[in-house]
Order: sequence, then structure tokens, then C-alpha cells
Amino acid sequence: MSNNTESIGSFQYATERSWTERIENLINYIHGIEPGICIERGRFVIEAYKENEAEPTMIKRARALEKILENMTIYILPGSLLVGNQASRPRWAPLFPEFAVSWLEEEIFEKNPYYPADRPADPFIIPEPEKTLPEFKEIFDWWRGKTHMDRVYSHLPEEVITAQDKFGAINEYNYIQGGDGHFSPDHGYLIRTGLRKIIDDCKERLANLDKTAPEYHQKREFYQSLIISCEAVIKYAHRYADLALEVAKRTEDPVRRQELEKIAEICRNVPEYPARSFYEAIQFVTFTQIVLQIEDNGQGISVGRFDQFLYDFYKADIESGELTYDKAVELTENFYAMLYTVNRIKSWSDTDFFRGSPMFQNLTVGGIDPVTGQDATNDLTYIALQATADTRLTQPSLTARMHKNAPEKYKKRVAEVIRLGTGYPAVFNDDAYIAALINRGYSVEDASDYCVIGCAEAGPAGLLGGRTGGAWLNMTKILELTLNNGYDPRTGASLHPNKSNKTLAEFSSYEELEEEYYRQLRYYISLEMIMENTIDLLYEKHMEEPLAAALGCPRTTIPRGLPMKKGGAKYDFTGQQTIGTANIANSLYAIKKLVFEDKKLTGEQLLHALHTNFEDNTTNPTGEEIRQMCLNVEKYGNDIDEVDTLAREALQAVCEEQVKYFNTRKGRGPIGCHLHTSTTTVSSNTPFGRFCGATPDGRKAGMPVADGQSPMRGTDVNGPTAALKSVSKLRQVLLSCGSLYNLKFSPNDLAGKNGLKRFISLIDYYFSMGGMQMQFNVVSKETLLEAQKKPEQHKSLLVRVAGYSAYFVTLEKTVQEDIIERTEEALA
Amino acid sequence: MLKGILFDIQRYAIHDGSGIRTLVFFKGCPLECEWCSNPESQFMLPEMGYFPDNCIRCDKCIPACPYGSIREEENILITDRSFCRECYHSRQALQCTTVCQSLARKAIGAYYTVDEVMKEVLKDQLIYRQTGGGVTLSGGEPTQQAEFAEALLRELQDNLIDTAIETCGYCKWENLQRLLPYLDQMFFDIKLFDSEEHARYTGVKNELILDNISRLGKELDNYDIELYMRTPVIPGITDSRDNIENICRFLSEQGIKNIEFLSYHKLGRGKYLTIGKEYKLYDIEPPAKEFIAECDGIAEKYGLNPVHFE
Repeated sequence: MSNNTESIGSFQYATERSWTERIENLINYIHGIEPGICIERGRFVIEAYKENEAEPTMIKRARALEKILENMTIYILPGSLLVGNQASRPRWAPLFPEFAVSWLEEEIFEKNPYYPADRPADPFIIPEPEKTLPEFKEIFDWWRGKTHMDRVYSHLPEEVITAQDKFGAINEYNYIQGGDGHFSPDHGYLIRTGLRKIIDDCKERLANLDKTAPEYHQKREFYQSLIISCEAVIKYAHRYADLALEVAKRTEDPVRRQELEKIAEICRNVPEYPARSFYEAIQFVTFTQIVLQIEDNGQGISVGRFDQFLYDFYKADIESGELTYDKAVELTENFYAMLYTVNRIKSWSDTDFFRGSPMFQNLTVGGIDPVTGQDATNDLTYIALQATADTRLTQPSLTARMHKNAPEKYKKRVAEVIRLGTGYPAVFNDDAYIAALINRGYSVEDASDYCVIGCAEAGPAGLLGGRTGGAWLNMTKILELTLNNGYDPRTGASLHPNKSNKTLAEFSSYEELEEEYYRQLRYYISLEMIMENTIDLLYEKHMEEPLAAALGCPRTTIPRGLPMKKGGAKYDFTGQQTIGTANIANSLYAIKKLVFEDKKLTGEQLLHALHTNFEDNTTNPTGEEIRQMCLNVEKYGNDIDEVDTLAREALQAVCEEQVKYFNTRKGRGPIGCHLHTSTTTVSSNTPFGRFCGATPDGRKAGMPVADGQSPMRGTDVNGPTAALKSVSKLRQVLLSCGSLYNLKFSPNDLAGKNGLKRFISLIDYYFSMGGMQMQFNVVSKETLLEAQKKPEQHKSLLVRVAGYSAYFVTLEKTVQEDIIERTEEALA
Repeated sequence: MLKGILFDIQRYAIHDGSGIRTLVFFKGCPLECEWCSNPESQFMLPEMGYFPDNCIRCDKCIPACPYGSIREEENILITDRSFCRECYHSRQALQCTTVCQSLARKAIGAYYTVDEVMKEVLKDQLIYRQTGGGVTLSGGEPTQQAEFAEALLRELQDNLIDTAIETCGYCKWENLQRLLPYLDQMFFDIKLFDSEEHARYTGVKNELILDNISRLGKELDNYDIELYMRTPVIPGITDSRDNIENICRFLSEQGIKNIEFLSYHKLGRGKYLTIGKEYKLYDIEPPAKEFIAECDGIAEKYGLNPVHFE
């Protein structure tokens, strides 16, 4: 038994950083700026749309981007070695009115539910409201009724709207109110090619088009829009060159002056031409990442395998003496700071699902070489890990790929960085992910070259289009609807009755209930498909993105003359996120045991207790006694086969049903083109819980449901090995879109060499059983409670929310509570 | 069928033997050490643990108790435990726990077959191999149920799982000896060298224990066992220089090498309330780290090898 009861507290405060003064100042500068809304983009998009009304969508979109990049405010951050900005100030969010305006209009002018600056979490200030509000009004007036969101709602069948807005059984606000994002640009190809070559290629293809062919116009628009967009990006880079020289003139410090002159020189070369050094390559990547976030406000534009595609540049520069290890660390940390400046304002209702302003700019390190299959870690792997340890920023998200033969030194470094408590990196099991991708038709080489996109979705950079994120599926709600014969007790609405027309009070066997649940599940999955088709159709008709085509998958879009949403990528899938596996397993098992096997309760008694939120004390047994019975039935997460089997079946049913449906790119070129499943949750388990009444697992109405595939918080009481084993029983290989398992540890559990070794052995254990992904919150409960009380002293406390980390104190109270409650797996 | 009484099977244990282990806690112990951190391990029958925080005041336990020992007083449930032992021995034992839905009253201790224990401990067999861990028989006192312990250890060895035992050594030599062929590690307590003192704080004299240590010292070479002697350092009770010196000298004379000095800790305190027992050491604080180092120094002086499993 341990006698080490003293709390060490959070390691975040106890560990020294090794960053340079430049990086420290830069990051402190950015931290000092309150997020706000930048109106500029909104202004320029209207101008461009007005000027190009007769043009087809792609040209119009390209002209809009051109206008923005030409006219937006640009700046160079103090001391920064890299340039590029998305909005007029760091962490300010540009407006994307073409996607949706109604929610922002309501928030700003009706304060419904909150004025953006007064939100309880992730607030955005509006600068000089007396001056800017009239212009906001103008923008909203112009777009009202003709945004992407307006179109989606006018296309969606009523039952889909009911299922989303009333029931919360499915949800896709993120892609109804904004763009897609969610791909990893072909950085490795781009930095070795340069945009000029892409432009020349497009020009040549344009010149050679058969003007009599039926697809001529579509191809012409495609190539022209790519040319316009790439030229605009080159000009945007030249603006920084000019600005750097201008600032240099005013700069007295000769060292900084030289740095600015160097920036100018680099911006004249990249992204127009191939990068000539590590420094240029990283500036190229910075521009690519940022301009894509100006074209579209989608999340998850991911960096990809940073340590792989940059390594040749690094190696050459180290060998020539132009670069040192320390300088590479500084540039990488500077790069992280640039990514951190990118932001997006989502509606309050969507913010609920994505707490902590996540942009999901995921950066992947480690893993195997796609050709040799051997370990591919190198200096840059360790540099990227160091940068996360030093900067402790919410962006970029860091992914560490692991495999059977990963070096122990790498595992140790990964464990040390996780132990800092920033929630990064998440660890991914190559052996499992690669198998899952091959199962969906990826070649061995492409599968092996996967990076993580967004939250936990995997695919090769530059080759995967489609949408890695799509609709959420709230399984808990679907079970509640099943128990009530399709009726929703919360709203009184009814959509799809059970085939037997029975409720829980009438089911004659457990098998009957299970059958009805799976029938309802299939129905709601079919509604997801309707939603996906609608959104995809409208994206491709009205929102097509030329720059994403040029930078995302240039090696296939350009030869095909097709943007990604029309089938331009090599691989294409639509991901679906599934929430609440644990609630389904636990609830089904509780009903099976209490009602049908042990007969401690009748279905009617249990249903009544659920309707009354376990609060009716006039029944015998009382509501609370029934709740205790429910709570004390065995739960998923304790390595008990009987209930773990139900979890496996519940998730497997979703996976197997979803792959039956095809997306709009089927037959248009890419491999795949069907739905597939992930368990990425972000913070959606909290809002989804609000839609759900009391459940037979003992959960009370409105409380959060379990995240993707993790055990319900507080119910995995047999220690981490039992929990890991339960979760590994799910057929994770079917989760080709991504698997997400949250574990929370106290820092004192991970103390010392033995703590690290144990931690690594748990990761090895889970992965050797087929586990795909793990991510960690490493803070003491005491620290979190204290941070709730004294937020001002814990501003930099990062916690893992789901596929990303956020500053704990910026999270809303209920999400904070949820994080505190997540089972603290006692490692000691 | 052969059954043993256990009070817990705990996975992911890291302080009782090498690697990541599963602990099998035997119920029943011939000693009653005042510092015992598992007081619920002492009595050899299932007993009632009371966890008032879980109570939802359904009050179903009041009529369920055949002795009428549960009553409400000033809105609080009071359990008069004077008849509990009698209840544990009766056929209708532990009624109050069967009616309790909220686990406020819980039976501590249950009977297991070897197969049932194996089913649990095999669940982590992969991580035993990955970390050099295994299964530790703890307690309570495993040698009190020597036949069951032997059958379990044999089965573990048949499954290539490393085994360990924690024992107070108070048993017939034969009961210890029969387990030796199936053990990889052994943790053997030597608490107080003076027999009277030993009796005062643990309830029994120590001659039997010292005798078993001597025999073990002689026979150890016939087996492939890593033996670790353990001395709990309890301030004011076992931490006199004399006691430490005497223990070390004795062990050295028996040809025994490894010793671990365990710091007293307070983690077991709450459990006493749960089973209605009095805890006597409330004013004791854990010993200073420096003192443990001093003990290690004494051990080295006698040619012993002091160890620490975290």
C-alpha cells in the first residue's frame, strides 16, 4: 500500500520551460489579447459577391478570397520570425457570413442567449460597438435568407429537423453553420513544388481543354478559380515582404532589422516557389495553414506529419551549418504560436458542443515509415514534443503515433510531455489505425502514412478529402425514444413508433427491447444520411473551395479538374461521431438484469421512475431506491464480459449500419465514399445529456452522457487495467474514422521514473489489446477544484476536453464539473 | 468443493511485489495488530461494513435486522453492534445487507472457489507478463487457509503466473512449507522482537514466528524464492533502536538477506469505523524518511540488504 498521500499538485507549475525570451514574449503578447470578432472579412466577401454576381460559384469564391487577401489588415507580431494572420488581431475570429448569420444576429442584437462578449464560456468582444454594429447590421441584412444555413433548413425534411432541434438525437450544427475544414494539406508536396508551378499547371490544362466538351465550363471554372486563388496567396505573401521592409526601416535594433529583412526575402520566395531551407519551409506551411482558414472557417485543417515532411530540410540545414537544433526548436515554437492565433466564432449552441475554442489544427509526430514500415522518429519528433512542453498552448493539438517497435526513448519523452498536464499529446496506435484504414480500402502505404485530422480522425495528408466530421449520434436519446415507443417525454413530440408499438412497460422480453432499440438506431442513422447528403449537395453547389482544392489534394484535384466536394480526392469518407456507448450498455444491462432476469422491478415501475426522474417517493420501491438498484448493477468499464458485450454490440451496430450509406462523391473518382464511424465527442456529451431524460443506468435527467467510448465517469471502479480491458473489447478496428478514450490521472500517480514506466506500460497494454487511441488529463482533483474557486490564478491550466485541450477556467461550470468527475484512475 | 473466504481481489496493485499485480486478500488473521490497515481482514467470516455516506434512508434495514439492533435516533440511524458477531455465525446472517439497495450496508467477505479466483486474476495476465508482475496472496493471513492457498498457487503456477505471498508467519510450519514450492516471492513480517511486546500489540507471542523464520532460513536454498522480510515502522511501538537491531541481528544469524522497512501510514483509519472497531493509534504520525534511512543503515551493518518497493 502506498503511503504517499501528499498531493504534488499540477506538474504544469512545477516544470521549467526551456523556451527563448523571444518565444516567451511572443506568447505572453498573444495571451494578453482578448478574443474578438473581426468584421473585415464580412465586408470584403459582400463586395466580391456583388462585383461577381454573374460568375459561377467557384470563381465568385476565388474572387472573394482574392479581395480579402488583398485588403485585410496584416501585421507582424513583435519578435516573431514567422508571418501570416487570419484576422486583424491575434485570436480574433473573422466573419463568415456566407455560412450563417441568423445566430450571430440574434446573439448581437437580441442578446439571445448571450451577447458574444458576455458568454459564460469562450466570449468574443466586439470592438467599438457604436461604430461597428451598424456595419454588422448591414452585413446581416444582405445575407439574411441566402446563407448556407438558410439553404440547409429549406432542404431538410421535417423529421430530420425534429430529430436534431427537438430531440437532440442527431446534430450537425457545425456543418450547417460553418464550413468543413477537416483535411490535412499536402504540405510535403507543396513546399517542394511552390504555387507558381501549380498555377502553370492549371494554365496549361485550361489551355488544353476541349471547349466543345459538356464538362468544359465546369473545368474552366475550376482551373480559373485555382489560378486566381493561388495568385492571391502569392500576393498576400508579398504584402508581408513589403510590410517587413517597412517595419525594418523603423526598427532601431540592428538584429531585429536583419530578421525583418530576412522575413521579406523569404516571403518573396515562398509560397510562390519551393522552399530552400527549413526556415522557408516552415513559413510556407504557416501561410498554407492560415490562408485556408481565411477561405473557410471549418475546423481541423491539420498540419500532418510535421517530423516527416520537414525532415529533409532540417537535415540539410543542420549538415550545412545553417541551422542548429535550438534554432529549429525556436522556429517550431514560433510556428505553434502562429497556429494559436487562428480562431473561429461558433454560435453559442454549437459552442456548447466544442468548448474551449478548439480549432483542431492537429500536428502528428512519430509512427512508422510508410515504405519500410520501420520506426520513423527523428530529431524533429523530439523538437515538436519540446515545443508543446514549452509553449503549452491549446493549439496546435499534438498527436504521438506509437507502434510495436517505437523506441523507449520516444515513449518516455511522450509520457513526460503528457505528464505536464496539457492534455497533449494524445497517443495513437499505428498497428490498430493502419489496420482500420486498410479495412476501408486504403493501400498499405497510404494507410501507414496517416496523420491525425481534427480530433482523432486519421488519413493521409493530401490524399483524403470528404469530411472526417459529420453528424453526431446521441445513442442515449435513441434508447429513451425506444423505451417510450418513439415518443419524446421532454417535448411531447413523436416521430417513429416501435414496430411492436410497445413501451418499456409492455415489452415481453429483453430481446424484444433490444430489437426495437436497434430498429430505432437504424432509423436515426438514416436521418443522418439525409442530413449529410443535404449539406454536401449545398456545399458543392454554393460553397465550393478553390484554395482547398489547390492546397488540400492538388495531386488528384488538378488532374481530375474537380474540387474535393465533387470527388477530387484520392480517398473520401464521411465521418459520423457516436456518443454514449457506455450509457447504452449500462442501461440495457440494467433493464436486462432488474426487469427480465432478477425481476426486481417491472418495466412499468422502471419507466415510471424514469419519467419522474427517480424522484417519486410514493411508489414502492421509491424512485430513489430504484435509482440505487440501477446504479448498482454492473457497469461497462470494469472488465465484466456480460455488460462489456452489450457495449461492443451497441457500437458495432452503429459502425456496421453507417458503412452501408454512400456520400455524394460515390462513383465520381475517390476510393471509399461511404459513411464510417468515430467516437470523437469533443464536449457534446454535456449538451446531448440535456436532451435526455433519466436513464436506466441511474443517470438523472439532463446530466451529461458518457463520451464516445469511455466508461461513464465514476463507474469504472476496478482500476485502470480493468477499464482499459473493457474498452479494448469494443471492435475498435471498425472505428476507421477515429477512436477516443479519455483517461484522467493525478500528476502524483505519474511521479518519478517508476511512474513513467507504469504509465507507458498501461499504454502498451491497451495498444497490445487492439486499443486505438488514448488521451489524458493529468491534473489533481484538488488543482481543478482550486481553479474553479480562484480562476484568476489558474489561467494557464490546460485540460483535455476531448479531441483537444482547453484552458480550464474558460470552460463553463458544467463542463468543468464533468472534467472533475471523470474517473480519476488511481495509478498509485 | 474447496472454497476460501476472501474480502477483495484488487487489480493494478504496484506496491506488493514486482510489476503490476493482482492482490488476493484472504479474510481471517491470527494477529490483531493495532496498526493494521486492513482491519476488515481479521475476522474469518463475512461481516457487515457500514458506509453512511451511501445511505438514502429507506430504513429497510431496521425491520430486517433479526436482533432489532438498528434504530433511529435524532434523525440518525444507530447500529448497536453487540449482536453482529452472533448474526455472522447464524444461518440468517447479514439480512441488513441484502435489503440495502444503496450499498450503505455491505457484506465484507465472500467464499470463492479456486476457479472463481482464477477467472478474475487471469483477466490481467497479459500485463503481468509485460511488466514482470503476477499475483500476490495477501490478507488477512493466507496460511490460515493453507489448503485453499496451496490449490490457488498451484493453479497460478500452471498458468505461468508469478506468485507472491504476504504473511505474518504465525502458523504451523507445515502450513507454510506446503506453499513454498509454488512461490516466486515471499514477504514475511517480523514486527517486534520482544515476545511480550509482540503479544501486547498484536495479540500473540512471537516464538512461533521466529521459529518459522529460522526454519525458512535453513530450507530456503531448496526453493527458488526471493524472500523479503518486512518490518513495519510504527512510531513508539516498533521503532526502538533495540527492536530494529535485534531483528536485524536475528535475521543475519538465520542467513536471511533482504529486509524492507515499511513506514506506518494512516490510510486504514477510516475502515475501523466501517466495521465498528476502535482505532487506537490516532495520535501517531508516520515516521520521518530519515528514520527509515537509519533503519536501512542498521540493516546494512548486519550484512542485510535493505530494499524498497516504492
